[in-house]
Amino acid sequence: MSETPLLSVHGLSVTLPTGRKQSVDAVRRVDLTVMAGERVGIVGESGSGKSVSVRAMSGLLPESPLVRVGGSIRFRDTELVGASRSVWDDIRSKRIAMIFQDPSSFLNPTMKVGRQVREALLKGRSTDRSWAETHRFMTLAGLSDPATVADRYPFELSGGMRQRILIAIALAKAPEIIIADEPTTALDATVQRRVLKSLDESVSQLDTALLLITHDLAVVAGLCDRVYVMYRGEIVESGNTDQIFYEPQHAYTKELLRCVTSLSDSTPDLYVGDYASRR
Amino acid sequence: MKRTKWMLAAAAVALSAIVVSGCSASSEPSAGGDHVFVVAIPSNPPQFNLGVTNDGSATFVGRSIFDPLVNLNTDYEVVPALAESWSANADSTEFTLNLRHGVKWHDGTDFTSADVKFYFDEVIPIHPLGAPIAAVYDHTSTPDDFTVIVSLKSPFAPFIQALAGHMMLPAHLYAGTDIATNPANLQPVGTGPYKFTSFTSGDSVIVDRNEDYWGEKGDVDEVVYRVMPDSNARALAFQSGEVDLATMLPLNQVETLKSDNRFAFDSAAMAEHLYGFFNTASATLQNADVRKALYHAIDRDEIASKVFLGTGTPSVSPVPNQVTWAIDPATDYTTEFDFDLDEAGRMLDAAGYPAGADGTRFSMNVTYRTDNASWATTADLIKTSFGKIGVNVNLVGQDTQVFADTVYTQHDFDFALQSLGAYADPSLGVARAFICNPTNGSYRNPTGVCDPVIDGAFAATAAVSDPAARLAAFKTAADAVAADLGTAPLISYNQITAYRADKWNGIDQFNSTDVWTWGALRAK
Amino acid sequence: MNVHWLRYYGRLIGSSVLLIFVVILVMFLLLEIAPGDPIQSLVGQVPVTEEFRRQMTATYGLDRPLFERFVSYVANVATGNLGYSFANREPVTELILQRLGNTLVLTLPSLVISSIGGILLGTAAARTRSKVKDGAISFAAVAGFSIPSFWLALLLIMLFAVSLGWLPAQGMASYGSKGLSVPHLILPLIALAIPELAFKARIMRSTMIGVLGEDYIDTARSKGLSSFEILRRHGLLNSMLPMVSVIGYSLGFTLAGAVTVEKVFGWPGMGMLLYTSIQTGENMVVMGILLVVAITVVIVNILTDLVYGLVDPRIRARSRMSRGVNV
Ligand SMILES: Nc1ncnc2c1ncn2[C@@H]1O[C@H](COP(=O)(O)OP(=O)(O)O)[C@@H](O)[C@H]1O
Ligand SMILES: [Mg+2]
Repeated sequence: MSETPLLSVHGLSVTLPTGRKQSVDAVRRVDLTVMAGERVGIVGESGSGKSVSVRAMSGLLPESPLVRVGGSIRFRDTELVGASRSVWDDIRSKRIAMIFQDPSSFLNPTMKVGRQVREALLKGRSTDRSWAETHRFMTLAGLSDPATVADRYPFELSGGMRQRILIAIALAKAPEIIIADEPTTALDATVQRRVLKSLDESVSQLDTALLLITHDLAVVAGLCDRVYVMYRGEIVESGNTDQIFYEPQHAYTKELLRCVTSLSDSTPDLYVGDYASRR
Repeated sequence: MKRTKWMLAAAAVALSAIVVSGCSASSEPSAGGDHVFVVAIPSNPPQFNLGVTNDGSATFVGRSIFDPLVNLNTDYEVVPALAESWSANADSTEFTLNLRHGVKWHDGTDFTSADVKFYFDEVIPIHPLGAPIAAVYDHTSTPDDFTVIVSLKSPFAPFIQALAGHMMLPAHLYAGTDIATNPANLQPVGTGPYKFTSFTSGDSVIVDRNEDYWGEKGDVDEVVYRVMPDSNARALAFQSGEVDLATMLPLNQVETLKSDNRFAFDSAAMAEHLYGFFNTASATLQNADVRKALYHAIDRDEIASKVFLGTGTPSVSPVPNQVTWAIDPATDYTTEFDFDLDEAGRMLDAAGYPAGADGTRFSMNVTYRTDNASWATTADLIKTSFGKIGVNVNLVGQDTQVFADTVYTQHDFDFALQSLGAYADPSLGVARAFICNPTNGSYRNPTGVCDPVIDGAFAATAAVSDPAARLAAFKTAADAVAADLGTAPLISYNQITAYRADKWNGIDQFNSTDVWTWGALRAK
Repeated sequence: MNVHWLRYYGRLIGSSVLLIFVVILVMFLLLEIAPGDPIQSLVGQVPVTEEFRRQMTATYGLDRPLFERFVSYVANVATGNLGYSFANREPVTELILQRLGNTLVLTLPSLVISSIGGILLGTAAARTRSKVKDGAISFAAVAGFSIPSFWLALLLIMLFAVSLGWLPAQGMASYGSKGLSVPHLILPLIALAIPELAFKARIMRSTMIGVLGEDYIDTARSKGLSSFEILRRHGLLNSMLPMVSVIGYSLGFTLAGAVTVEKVFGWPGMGMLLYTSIQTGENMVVMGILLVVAITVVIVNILTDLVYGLVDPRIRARSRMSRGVNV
């Protein structure tokens, strides 16, 4: 691990306005690195600052002068905190892709989904800008009949298919890292598993790094090399997945694990993907 | 791609061509064309038959197309028009009119005594101003084409005066038809100085000079009457030079326009009279002493100067001040009912309305029309001065229709302001504001006063022809009105005519009778 | 064309006809109690002679009972006859048709200009990050919307006709020429369009701000689209849905605004006719114009429904289903 990290975050803090005079320190002193092709998880309870941190990394915080970002976010050698528009345009269109939590609201309801995927393709790194290429990414995201699906509007698709469209949008840029912010939370259990499988397979195939956010340790266990545990805006623990699973240090992590174990007692099916089995 | 764009452009061109050809039009002015005179009229004329409408705008237009038998000049003297001369028998029951020879209707038909007979027989009974004549009319005989003898059932001295304003209609187009709906009402055929050319409803009426006119012909080849309903916009259009003559302008605008020497102003010939109607059915105002006290409390000099900006004067009698021959020098309401708040207070004390602990005696409504800002200002001045003697006033401003309904039909008012035209003879236009009105007709006396003395006196003013006798009858009427005071005469004034002095000469002459004398108008 | 389709449109037309019938009933009763005497309106503001009143009442059946007159009015409306105008001596339908074109020449361009202008201005205000620019646009919108239109109209005349002398103050064309001249159109159009434009800009601004806060805009941002691309591809169409109904409704407001504007500019349209008819108590004409406006509004509502479908695929699919077409 001597090479420079793909993404390295140091002392990141984000302050968000909550009213005219009030604000909240949503993220404090976060340090985090992701190497090229690596898979990293962030776990933590709801409201712990996971989404705010990754939105800071992908430049999708609310556009307001009251939002303050401190510390450093480097993508390879480029500093992103305080970077210019053109730098961010390049990062967002070609380097970092985001997959959001709720497939029902993150797709434009009045645009056919094929066009929404294609928009990402046209801005991205891929040199082949054909519809066939668009359809290829959709297939990669696990959509079996891309040409037909492409002609549909979001409301005509199921939740799982919509999430696959969001994945296809992320893949279509051919990015260096995909940040997936609780990509399956809004889906029911069986669909969750299949969508995660597609994500797993496609990330492997493209050799893209993955930063997976979830409050579900079981998902991380099957997918990620390393895990960061977030609690109240701070990273409280980090390490290899196995290490965190078998030797948790922080009281909060132990608490989290107890939930997973008790869960796995009744439903002993942690997600075990190709990647995990290969490992 | 290129192809689509080209087709789109072609479609756009085609579309605009359709729009343009559909909407734009021949911009060349219609026939004639050298001297065009533009008159702003305040509303869309419903039609042009002055036999069945008294609409102001229709009147403006109709009076250039039709002729009356006689005109009235600014001194209220009768001057010849289609009738060259006339005579009456001793008791004013038979009038002989000698018609002008060689007059032709605009369609080429001769104007004869048959037209006049038709008018008396068929039009007078339904004419809005026909009632005074209809009440006494018996029959007409026509010994020849140019002599008309009208016989009345009872004496009617102002008969000839009453004929002013009655515009002759062509019997050959109207006889045997429904006069109110005859198509000629929209395609008028008259004997007047201008022939009807076109009417675009809501927009304009165009008339062109009648080259065969019997009277003097003026310089104006074509008159365009343009409908301009908004009085402020009308004044601005006049100011911008779109209009040669405008009437019924807001008086404050007139003040502004006066400083511009392109413009001149002249009073219209006909007198207008602003009245205050007291509702004698109201609990407080049924007492004549209360009404008189309130009359004393109206500062009419202030109204004349602030509202009428000097174009009106406080009325001295039921007859407007301009009609001097009908006002006895002994009658002067401005001294009899002078502005005197102390006197008003004393009278109200005596009438049983002392000021209460808070200084208030009673409350009343003052109802006025909102179509002219002058009435609102007048009502406001009255409110202020009544307030000084402890009479609280609620101002009730109403739209024309609502006003007519509440005041004339419902009698739901205390004191109402209304301006009425005096017409050619005070027996015609003035009497209606004072005499008994048992049928609750609109634009007549709504006060509830039904005084046989007043009615008799006004009847007498019409029944005799001797000027001294008529004057005496008007004096009797004035005294009886002052005793009862249902209707309080407030201000006598004339409509102001604004015209382009830099373009036209002869407006004085033009404006010198109740019907415009187009022959007097000369281009500069 | 099938049964479902027929049923869908049958119901739409049926309910529209019912609505119009109710409108007629309510207006008929309201105008019955409103002051206004058709025979008085015939002669103007002078006493009516009894002879004349008798003649006219008999000729036009004004002495018949209310119910009878209502029934014959409805029957007449069904055949396109809106009654008779006493003051104008003309059938109301003809009177209105003469004026309708002049009003449309004014209101349709105003509708187009205010809609396009409102959408552009509202979008600009929603998009700008400059507080000053947004504030200026918002202030102008409030001012434009709350300024009384007769005052705005007089102001325009004062400036462009009297002071500068660039444009005519009154009428549709120069005297003697029929039809429409563009210089005459400009001032009334501005006076009519500005309040509407301001209103639409306000609605558009808040709608667009709402849309730009939607999650799918984040997706668009994450693709690296420029803010203009985001606005054009993802913001506009989604903001159009509320705008379509605002534009639909605004036709009613524009027609109402035309009353004042036509009066001030001496524009011979339906609005001026309505104004005059209220002044003279010509209730049949008032009724006819309100009816024409009501029918127009109903038709525009149906059109709005159709346009909704064009803008929103969800609604399009729903109506396709209700028409029984396979999706
Ligand atoms: N747009 C925002 N404005 C203000 N506060 C926010 C905003 N988004 C998130 N927060 C706050 O920041 C904190 C972290 O939220 P988030 O990162 O969404 O948590 P999670 O770990 O569930 O993703 C929470 O307290 C939340 O209330
Ligand atoms: Mg979150």
